[in-house]
Order: sequence, then structure tokens, then C-alpha cells
Amino acid sequence: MIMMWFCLCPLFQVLVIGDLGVGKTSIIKRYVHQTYSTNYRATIGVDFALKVLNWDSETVRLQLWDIAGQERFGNMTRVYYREAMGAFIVFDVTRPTTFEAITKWKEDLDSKLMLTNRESIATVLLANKCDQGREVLTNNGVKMDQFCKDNGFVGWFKTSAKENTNISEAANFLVKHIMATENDFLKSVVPDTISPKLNDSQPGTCSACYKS
Amino acid sequence: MSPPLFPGQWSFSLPLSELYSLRRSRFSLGRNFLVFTSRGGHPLPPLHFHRGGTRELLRALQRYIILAPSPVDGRLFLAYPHDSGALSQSFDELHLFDDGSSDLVSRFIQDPYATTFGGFSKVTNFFRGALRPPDSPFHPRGPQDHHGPPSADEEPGFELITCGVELGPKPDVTRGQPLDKWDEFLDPEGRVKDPQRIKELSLIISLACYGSLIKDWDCCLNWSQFISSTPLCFSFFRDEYFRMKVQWKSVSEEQEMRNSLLRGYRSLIERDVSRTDRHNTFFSGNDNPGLTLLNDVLMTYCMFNFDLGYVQGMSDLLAPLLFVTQNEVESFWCLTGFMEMVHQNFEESQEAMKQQLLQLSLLMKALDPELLDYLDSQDSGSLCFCFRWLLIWFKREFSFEDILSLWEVLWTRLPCENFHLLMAASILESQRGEFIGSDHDFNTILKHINELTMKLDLQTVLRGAEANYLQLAYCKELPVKVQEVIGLYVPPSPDDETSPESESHETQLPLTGCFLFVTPFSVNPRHCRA
Repeated sequence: MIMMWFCLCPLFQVLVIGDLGVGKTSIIKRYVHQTYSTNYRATIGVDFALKVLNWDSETVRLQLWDIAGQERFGNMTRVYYREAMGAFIVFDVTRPTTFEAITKWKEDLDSKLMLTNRESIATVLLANKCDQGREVLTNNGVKMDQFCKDNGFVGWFKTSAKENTNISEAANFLVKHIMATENDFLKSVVPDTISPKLNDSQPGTCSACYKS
Repeated sequence: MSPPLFPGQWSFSLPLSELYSLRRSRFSLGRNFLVFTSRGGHPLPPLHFHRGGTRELLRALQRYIILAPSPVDGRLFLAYPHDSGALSQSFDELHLFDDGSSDLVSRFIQDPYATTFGGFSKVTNFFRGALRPPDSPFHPRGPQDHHGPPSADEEPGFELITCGVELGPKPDVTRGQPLDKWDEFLDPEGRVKDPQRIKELSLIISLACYGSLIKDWDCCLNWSQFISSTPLCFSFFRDEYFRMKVQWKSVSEEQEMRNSLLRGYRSLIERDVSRTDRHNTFFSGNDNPGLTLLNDVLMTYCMFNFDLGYVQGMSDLLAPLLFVTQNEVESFWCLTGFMEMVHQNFEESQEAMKQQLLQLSLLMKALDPELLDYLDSQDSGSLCFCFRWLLIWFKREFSFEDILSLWEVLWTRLPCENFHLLMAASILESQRGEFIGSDHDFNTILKHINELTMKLDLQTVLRGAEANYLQLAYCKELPVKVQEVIGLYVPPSPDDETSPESESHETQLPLTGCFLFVTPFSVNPRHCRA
């Protein structure tokens, strides 16, 4: 029975990528274990964490793939991209170079991974370390929205793993988009199937709706 | 069209042109099998691979047909004919047929597909072999196996595709106390003074004593020995270090604005220094001088090898060196010695890492083909989940204290080349019960391996690795490729008179290739044998 249960609840693989030291591991640890430490080690290769979510009386499992940030190991870590259904691309608001690298990460992701309907997977941009009070980059929300639109992100969030800001909001937002993609896909493949709506509210246009 | 079965239930033959698809097993069945489906839509009896070999078969098949993964199902491969040119591949390489080759060629010309597939169908013998009760490997089937396939004798013309070698039992290994006073065995240039003596000693102690060999890490990474054998003194190395340190220290902020490489290295190092072994008192807390040392030595190493620069993982290599030497200059030269052994792991191309994963899979194929095949069936045959182990020599898998002794073991290069790969194999083998028969897939295999961190017992792993080594070393038919991995066979140089044949058959003592440390300065270890 337990096995059955495990097989039935949806499992979504989510990549967490971005430059070295932007806080990917911290975000995952905060989200999954509700902890924060300044002593996390640099990720070598790939790490992996599982989060179980209750989603409209349904259980959803998120596999979060913590991918090492150094480009050199890209060769060895891209193999973990293949079954992902969503992604977070993370940058550090205090370091402009990590923002500049965002488009590179996105292009790389899109080139390695396409859904069967030729769409790219749902990707959310995370502006991390917003507790540092130096987020010049993200002060202009309109510009950020436009940036997301231009670069194929479904939305963006200011996050802080340290102060637990917006992490689960961002995750919920991504899950909603993944599910929407799933439903669209099911409909397109089997037109006669009536797919139960998992969430009534359509995903918001951008993360602005979620900002406090 | 009816299924193209022979009357004998356990064999079949199908022209390759009639092959429509091939599916590899998945999920929790705990065994590997392939199912061929003919163009008529009939699935043929599954071919089971209890002791490995699916990869060999697929690779061999791909010489004659194109196997393209189905776009909707990654386990399913669709067969397409190659262009005719590909069919001219040498059959001799395949060794599938022991019939006279001229006859084979004529048959091949007349009916290439059927001839080829006839050979492949011989793998059914594999199934038969696998069904033998494990306790009587060399005896005919017991009566309880009456449902099993007929034996090879009943099916003339069928032969076993060998995918592994028969290894003897794994020997029990006990490890002795660490050798002290190692430097008594070395001459001032770090060469073994009396190789024969070492050999004898090692035989007596049954290779059990290569742990914690060296108390003096400078000596191990061998720069101080160089010092003692030359007119140059320690001050030379101190000056060299500070000369390079000043190079990056004296770059002004304005200059650095125009030096993106240096800026990049500095930023990477800054990120990683703050998250390297922070639980160790030497690096814990803010403003710990240990952090400055870590930063400065890594920056200076960038100056020493600017092309390589800083790559993640290097801070992991340096931290124990700093901890033990507690000295900036010494730890730097130790790092250069260590990097001399492993710098290829960090190179842009990552070729060395790919090569090592490949070598590891070669070892696994010899040591535990069934496990390798299981991993392969879960798309994990590349063993990429071992990446972290190999990149930084298990630094993240064991406690800091364990790493201190483990690296000493590995630096000695005893008992063989690539001992770290034998360790990796040993860890994988220790997890076979966890994997085989489980419902682990590609993802959970990685998860499981990652979660072994800090749970492994170093001595057990070392004993397992040494047992692996002995098992391989005493195998008479060990493939040359495997011999090469662990240094039992060294390809002759072009001007070498000895033929590779004669050398590969020579039973080498397990000690071959043990001689000492590769260092930035010292002699080539192989010369020590002379």
C-alpha cells in the first residue's frame, strides 16, 4: 500500500542553478529543513533534497537538485538536467556578475532541456540575499518583470534564505506553473480527457502579486 | 508471421533486418533483461543478464544497426538499418564466432543479418549459466532446475559471450600498524634506497602496512627532500613563495578592474574559503587567521599555475595540508605536490574525470559485473554519481581525521596505481544489497550515494579496496585494460624490445609500481626500480 501511495503522488524534479556562491544550497536547506547556516560547504557535483508538499489535499513531492555553480563541472552535472520539470535560477543581489550570468544559465538550460511540446520548462528567477540591503538591481520591479518576460521566466522573487523570505512562496509559484504545464500537456495529448483542475486560481502574471 | 522461435524454447534466431525494437528492463525487478521485438510485432523471450553484458551486446549490435532511443520511452530502442558500409566492420573483432573465418565471411556476404544475429542469440547460454545454483558453479544443473534451458551441449554452435572474468574469492585482508620511520628507506632525493628490501618487507607484512606511512607530509609531497639534496635551502622556497604572493598582493583595485581572470579567481576563492571545513577549529569562527592562510595560499597557487587558476575543490585539498603543517609556505609547497597528482581533475576539459569514471566502470565490470549492469539498467552505468569521490579523493565522504590518514595511504601509491578507484569500487560493492532488487532509479541512486557521506568506515573501505586489488592481481586472465588501470601492465614504450604479450602474462607481484611519490621536482617513480 505504501508503495502504491508513493507511486501515485506526483513527483516533480526541480533544478536549482546559478553562479557559485549565490546561495543555492542555503535556499534548499531553508526550504526543506527550515535551517540556515553560514557554514554550508561548496557543492561539489550535485546534491539532492526532497520536499513533500500538501497541495489541495494532494501530496506533491519536489526533488530539488542542487547543482554545483562552477561552469567547469557543467559537463558532469548536465546529466542531471534531463528529467527536470521546473527550475530556479538564482543570483546574488549584491553581486552584479551573478545577475549577468542569468541569461547564460537560462540559455544553457533551454538548450539542454525541452518539454515534449517544445516549450521550455517553467523557470523562476530568484534574487537572493535580499536581506543584505544592497539590492540595487531589483529595486525597479517593472524592469525585472520585463527582464523575466524577455528571457522566458515565469516570474521572479526577492528571496533571503537567511531570513526565510519568499522561499516557499517562490516554490509554490513554481509548482503551480509546473502543474499548469502538465495539465496543458495532458489536454494536448488526449483531447477527450477531462483533467481535474489542481488549483482554481490561474498562476499570477508575475511575482509582484506575491510581494508583501 | 509467427514468432521466429527455434523448437528449443531457450533459443531464437532473428535476422537483424527483422528486428523492430529492443527494450531494456527497468524498475524493481532486480535483474536485467532485454526484450527484442520483431517487425511482425512479436516480442521474443527476454534475454537475461544476471552477470552483466547488456552493454556489450548493445555495443556489438550497434555495429550493424542503428539503435535509436524512442522519443516517448527512454528504455525503448528502435532498430534501423545502417548504411551498407557499416556492415563491413571486422567480424574478427567481435569474437562471436569460432567457426572458420572464411566460411563466416561467405555466410556473411550471403546473409549478413541472419549470420550476425545467429551469433548474438548465443547469449542465451548466459541465461543458462546464470540459472546454475550458485553453490555448484561447475556442476550441471540440479533436478530442481528442470524448467531451465537446455545446456550448451544440446545446442551446438552456441557459445558464451564473456563479459567478465572469473575472479578468485576475495581474500581477507588485515592491515597492520602504520610504518614509522619511512624516511629511513629513502635516499636524500626521495628514492627508495633498496627496492628489494621494501619488496621483502611488504611481502612479509602482506601489503597491510601502507597506511599512515608518513608522519612528515613535506616528505611525502616531497619538496623538502629536494631541498635537502640540493644546495638550495629552505629559504629558496620561502622566497619563491613570497615572490608569487607579492604578485597578486600588489595588484591594485584599479588594475584588477582590467583583469577579469584574476578578479574571477579572487571572487571564487573568497566564496569557498568561507565555506571550507568551518567546523574544524583551525578554520572556525569569523576572523580566524586560518581563513586568511587558506585564502593567501590559494591565491598564490593561482600565480603558480595561472592557467589552471582556482577551481572548486582545491580549498578542500588545501585545508588538511594547512591544518597539519600549520605553516603557510610549507602548506603551499605541499599543495603544489598534491596538485601535481590531481591537477587534471580540475582541468577545463574534465577529460581526466571522465577517464577515471571509465576506469572505475572497467574495474566494476571485473569485480562485480552484476552490480554494474544493474546500475546500467538504471541509466547510472556512467557512475557519474561517484564524481565527488574522485575529484577530491573522498574529502567529503570521511571525517577530517580519516582524511588525514586516507590521503597518506593514497600518496604512497601502495599497493597500486589508482587505488582510489579500487576504494570507490569497494564502496559500491558494499552497497550492492541496497541496490540490487531495490526500486532505486537514476535519481535515488545518486541520493543514496551522496548520503553515504560520513557514514563509511575508512578501515573497512581500505580493506575492501586492498582485497579488490589482490583479487584482480591474482587473476590470470585479467583483461589488459583492467591491468593497465591498476598499473599491473604498463604499455611498452615504442623502443621497448619486449612484446606486450610476454609482459602481460608475467605474474607480477602486487608490489609493482609502488615506488613512491610523484612530486613537482622529484625523479620519475619508475626510475626508482633501476
